[in-house]
Amino acid sequence: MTERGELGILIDVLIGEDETSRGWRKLTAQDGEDLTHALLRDISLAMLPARLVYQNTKGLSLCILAGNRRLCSVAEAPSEFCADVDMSVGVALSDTPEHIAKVTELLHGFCATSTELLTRSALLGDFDPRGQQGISPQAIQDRLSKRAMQASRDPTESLAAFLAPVMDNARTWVMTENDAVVGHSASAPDHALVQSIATLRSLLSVPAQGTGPQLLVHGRAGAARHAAVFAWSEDWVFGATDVGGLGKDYIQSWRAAGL
Amino acid sequence: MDELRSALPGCDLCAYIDLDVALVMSLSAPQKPPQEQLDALAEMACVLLRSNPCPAEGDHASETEFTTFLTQDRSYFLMRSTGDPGEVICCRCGADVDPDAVEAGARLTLKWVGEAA
Repeated sequence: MTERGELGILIDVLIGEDETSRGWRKLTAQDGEDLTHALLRDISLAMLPARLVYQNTKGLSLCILAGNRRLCSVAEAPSEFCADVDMSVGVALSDTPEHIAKVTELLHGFCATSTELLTRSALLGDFDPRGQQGISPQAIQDRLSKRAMQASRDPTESLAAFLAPVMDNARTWVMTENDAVVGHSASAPDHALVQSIATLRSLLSVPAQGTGPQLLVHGRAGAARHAAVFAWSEDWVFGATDVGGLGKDYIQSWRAAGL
Repeated sequence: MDELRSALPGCDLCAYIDLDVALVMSLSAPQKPPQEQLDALAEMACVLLRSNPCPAEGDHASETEFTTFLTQDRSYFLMRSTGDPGEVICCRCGADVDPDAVEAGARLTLKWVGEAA
């Protein structure tokens, strides 16, 4: 093993980077090494139905997820690494059913149930990270409406109705599900925005102590497009920056939607 | 702070927060909340207004002026002073509060605080 540890090797394989690529030498494995061994031995890494994501707490960190469980993580990854994660990792991973079955067997006891993995696969099925275009606002809305029909307790239809004009009005927006990007605006993904999402969700759960949909509007003085809007329910988060209109408009329409 | 809270229907807490020390420095509330609640408010203010977790294109970090956070039954408003970016007014109100009224009241309070200092 190199100084980066096994996890560094695993990540290299996942995104097709070689050891001379920038950023990787600082990574060290902290936990989950047994799992890494198993993954390396038993499955084709290029078909691993896990997602490598990053989050920004006080420093940058990386973690590998399967379903919505964290398998292993490394801290203090260099910032230049994160700039590549979104575009590169998705290319290397796939969620095909035959490999889900294999990995579900392998990961049993470690992480998600097969149901969670299959659900995740279905949710991510129409997202092609290789393309520059994200999922359209209409596609997101359709997906949310479909999920609302499946779980009537979730007021997702109202959320979708609220989000549609925000998406249309924003320069940049990102949508994540269990911390994995499932859609973004047509322009290049806003990495800083994605990094913020995990931080926000964990932070705001403290004072809110609520489980229903929540909204955050962030305003900047003196800017024509001055609002940033975050909305989330239990397992997904939507974030948009450079939103036109006034922040209070979104607050009022949020309440008007009964959310 | 008491005047601000009484002017906002359904407002059960107004706090003056110093971002530099991440503490609630002054408070108006019918009953003093537990310290952990106040600490959570101060932490929220610091992250939302100082760490700029909602980045925009370009560097607008220093321009973040207000944040509104809505749950199903509560509305949290955080307004930063334009004169001293380390000073923040936080109002915790009901779901049906008028955002314009909170914004105007918080601006006025911050102005008074600035003048008093």
